[in-house]
Amino acid sequence: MSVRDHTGIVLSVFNGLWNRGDVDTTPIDHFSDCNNIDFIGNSFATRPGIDILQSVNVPIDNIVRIYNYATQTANTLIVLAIDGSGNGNIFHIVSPTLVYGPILTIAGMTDFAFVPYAGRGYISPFAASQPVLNSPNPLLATLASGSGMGVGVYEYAVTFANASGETAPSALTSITTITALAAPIINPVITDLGTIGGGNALTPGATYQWLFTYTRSGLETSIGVASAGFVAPAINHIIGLQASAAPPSINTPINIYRTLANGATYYLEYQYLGGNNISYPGFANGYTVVGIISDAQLLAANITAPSSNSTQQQKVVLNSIPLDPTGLATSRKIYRTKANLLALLLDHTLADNTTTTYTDANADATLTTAAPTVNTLYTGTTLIEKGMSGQPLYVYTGDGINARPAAGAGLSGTMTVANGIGGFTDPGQRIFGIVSQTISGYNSPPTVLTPFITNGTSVSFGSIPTSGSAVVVKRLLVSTIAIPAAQYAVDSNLSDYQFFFVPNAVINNNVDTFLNNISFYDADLLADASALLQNYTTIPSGSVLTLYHNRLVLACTYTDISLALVSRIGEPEAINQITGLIIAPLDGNPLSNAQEYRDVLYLFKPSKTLSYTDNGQEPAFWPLIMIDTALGTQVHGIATVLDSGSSSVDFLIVCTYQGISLFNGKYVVPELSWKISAFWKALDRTKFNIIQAVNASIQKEIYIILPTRQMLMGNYSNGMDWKNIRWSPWSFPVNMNTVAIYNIDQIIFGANL
Amino acid sequence: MGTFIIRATTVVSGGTPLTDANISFVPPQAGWIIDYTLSTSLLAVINQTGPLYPLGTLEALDKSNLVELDFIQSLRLGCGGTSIYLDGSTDPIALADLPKGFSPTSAEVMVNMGTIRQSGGTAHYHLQQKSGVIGTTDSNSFAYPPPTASMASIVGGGFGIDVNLLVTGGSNSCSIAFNDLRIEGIYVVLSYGATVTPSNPAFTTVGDIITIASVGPASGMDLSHVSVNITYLDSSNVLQTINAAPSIQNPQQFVFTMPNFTTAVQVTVNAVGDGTQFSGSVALGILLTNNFTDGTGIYVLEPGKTNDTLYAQGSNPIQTVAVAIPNPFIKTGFIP
Repeated sequence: MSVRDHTGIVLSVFNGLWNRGDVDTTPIDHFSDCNNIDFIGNSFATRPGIDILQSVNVPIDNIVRIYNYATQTANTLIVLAIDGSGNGNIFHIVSPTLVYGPILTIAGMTDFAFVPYAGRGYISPFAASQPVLNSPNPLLATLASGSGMGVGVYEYAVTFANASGETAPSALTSITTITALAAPIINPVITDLGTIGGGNALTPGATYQWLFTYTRSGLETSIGVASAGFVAPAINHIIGLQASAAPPSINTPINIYRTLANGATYYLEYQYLGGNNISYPGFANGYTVVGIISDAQLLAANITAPSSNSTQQQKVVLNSIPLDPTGLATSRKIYRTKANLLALLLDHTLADNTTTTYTDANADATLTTAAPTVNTLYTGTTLIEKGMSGQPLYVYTGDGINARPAAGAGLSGTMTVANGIGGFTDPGQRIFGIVSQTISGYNSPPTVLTPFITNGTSVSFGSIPTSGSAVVVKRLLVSTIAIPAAQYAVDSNLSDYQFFFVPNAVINNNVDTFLNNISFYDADLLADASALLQNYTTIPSGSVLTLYHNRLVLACTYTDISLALVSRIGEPEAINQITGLIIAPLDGNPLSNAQEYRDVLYLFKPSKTLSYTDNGQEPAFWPLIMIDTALGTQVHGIATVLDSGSSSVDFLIVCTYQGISLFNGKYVVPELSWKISAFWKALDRTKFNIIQAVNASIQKEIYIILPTRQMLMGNYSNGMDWKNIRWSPWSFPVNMNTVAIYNIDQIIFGANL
Repeated sequence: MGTFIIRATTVVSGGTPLTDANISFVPPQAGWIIDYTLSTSLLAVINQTGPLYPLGTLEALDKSNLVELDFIQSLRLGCGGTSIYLDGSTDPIALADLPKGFSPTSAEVMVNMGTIRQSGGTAHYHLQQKSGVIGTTDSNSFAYPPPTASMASIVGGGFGIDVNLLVTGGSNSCSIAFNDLRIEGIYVVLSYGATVTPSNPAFTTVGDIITIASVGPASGMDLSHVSVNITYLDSSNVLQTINAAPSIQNPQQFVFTMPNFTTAVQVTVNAVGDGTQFSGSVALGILLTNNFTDGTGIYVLEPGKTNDTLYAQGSNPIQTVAVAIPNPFIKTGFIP
């Protein structure tokens, strides 16, 4: 065929990049390679240029993450930038010319999770960390007789260790050592009470002596001063004993020892549980009858007086020292404070993973090496994005004031309670307390718990503590219902009872210190406040934040990568430490994303997808359904649609190791990126945490930041399916690290070095 | 066209800060004093009665019984800082804040004479431009010769006055009183321009050949009557200046080799007129140096934009760099 006869091939449709299989298999309407191409109709052009966003003298540089932040009045941006010292600084960009911040600065923060809620922003700092062995559970400690340690409160903790590192210390175990109890300085005084009924079992005419010892915690003092020699009378005489003076404590067990006839060895004759069983001059009981046990009986029992004082308890026996179930630890290190101090110092090293007990008698002065504060016992080398050690969830109010830790402890101190004037209550024993409320609506656990018996009138409260925190705006009175006296007698632990908010008993400021003449009946106490006692007062940071059913969901904390914390409905800072927890099946991989979709909470791991459904019960009881055991995503791998979450047109766009997939309750096959599967699979999987995707519904384009710090654009104006979507890599003269959508359809990029 | 006045801000020589102990009367406000032999003093007082009307007084009093006292003394004043009042403004500005292209067309040192008292002696004075340039005896003005020096030269040179007081016997005295010693002038803002090559977005480095081009003096800047310097802020945020030595200089072209700018991210190329066409300094352009490495920041995708615009982080004020969109291309599949 000559050239003249050649029929031209018209290329009028361009369907983007094709990168799978051999390049020769590229369809004629696709590109075997391309860069920086945008699609216009069926044709293409060079992608649009980028321009600077900030019109200020010192724009923020080294951008790591950008989130859209819809406040009550504007669509704004929350931005993380890293400074030259390695500090993560979070800024709030209100407009191209107005920047707040940094509103939060944390050394070592490399990323953060963010969700807006009711105009506020919840910020969870996180960083990439190697997986670590969990710290041990706390050990048990009991006092032992002996000397060595000082006297006072000691705190113990234990770590797992091996040649490469050491965990952070376990939770503390507290114990108080005590000095020796002195031997009695009182002595028995023996009197022949004559024939007043009864008798004695002593040998008449023989000489006897008595003496005392004390017992504390089963340990006995050395002997006290002996009585004067007493010649036994006839057997029909009663022999009385008095102490020379009052015993030191009515609660101290006192032991009475006696010799045998004309003997020198003392044998235990009686043991009284308290000093109030011993008579002494002036005591109404008169005499304690002794000598009614025969010498033979004492010899048979053969309990002789102690030769030394064993009541000193300045040793501690440590029990149940945890073993590392993984076997990774080759030693365990026991840390202890000095008496009444706080710093943990190395006390002893157990150079194995088998010993579970240790007796500590080390003097405080021998302790010098500080305990680790950071867990360095790594279990793997793969970096995991998780919450930062010691860093909490933060809340930002959107007004330029620095972000503060969410939640918080209650008030401290005491208050006075008195019956009021007039009014009414149900009379009886009850416990009152105060709940402080922050400007973000968080209610603290009830504190300042104060028992009081109401007499039927109203109740008045004074000296109610105020908070040193400026964010506390209210204080609310809580009360138990009337507690039966018998119940209160056996359980005086004030926090064991159920508390309720007292209607209309609110101080609407952080200044006033009184509530006067509060009236209520027990029947009015309907709103439970006891659950607040179980809430986190400091919510640990995690790498995942989302909202589900008006609850805040936080996952992958520093200490537990499989844990998700779920707040109460409408109270994002109220997370129950028992019923608000979801523990994803443990497989060594972290929870890496979470998203609500079609009324279901989906939790993602890098290669796993799980669902939990709100069944009306507490989150801990929500049923788990494993959706996919091979596909999941990373921390920013679900495409964001504006500030509304991540679903658009009833699907999610999820970046998995396999490719970019549509998710509608299951992953749609073939994946959306089927045409460029080779391109996708060539990406560095260890850097998938960099991937961030947004779905620009107006432009009908998907923008995905790649591990290469460049971008992949997918145009779905011809259809959102694997066949019709058109792909093009986009490159920039700077390293792009993050992408967001701003003001409905503005695509925002952040670049760092 | 506008007017300017330069007033002194410091004493360069001939005076010390005035203190009550050194004078025969207490001036209402601060000034300077020049001590002389024995008990004779020459006072130089700036009597600042208002922001625009400083009063200068030189006074020689023979307080001794010497037969003759011939007193010659100079007072030189500096004009650093905010010393320039434009167009009747009451707010002085500094040299660096003058409008670009500011060019004085005339200037003269002036003084308003108060009194010359001659009682048994003679009193004469001379106005001074820069040090050693002395005007006519007892003249109240001393014009700068054409072409008028650059504003930088005028301000940098300062001005002054010297007096010659001669008394011939005891109880004789003479004195000079004057006020508002200053420089007055007229200026224009030149719009002459020139282009610097390379310009943004190219980055310069030490040794680069920089070319300034003009259409020539007919309608543009006369590059044969300028010097060129490079200014930049150093790491301590202090403005540094390096003079550029021309390898080619003619009315249309000024070519030089980029000098060492240490670690500056951006430098400014300035033309300084020698007064033939204009005086003062005109910024011709800002060049980003090869120390610019940080283009990080927040960007927005702009539909229809045909290039990428980057931040030049570290420049102050912030500069931007326009660069081409990197390597847009397509390769089609195999066409049979």
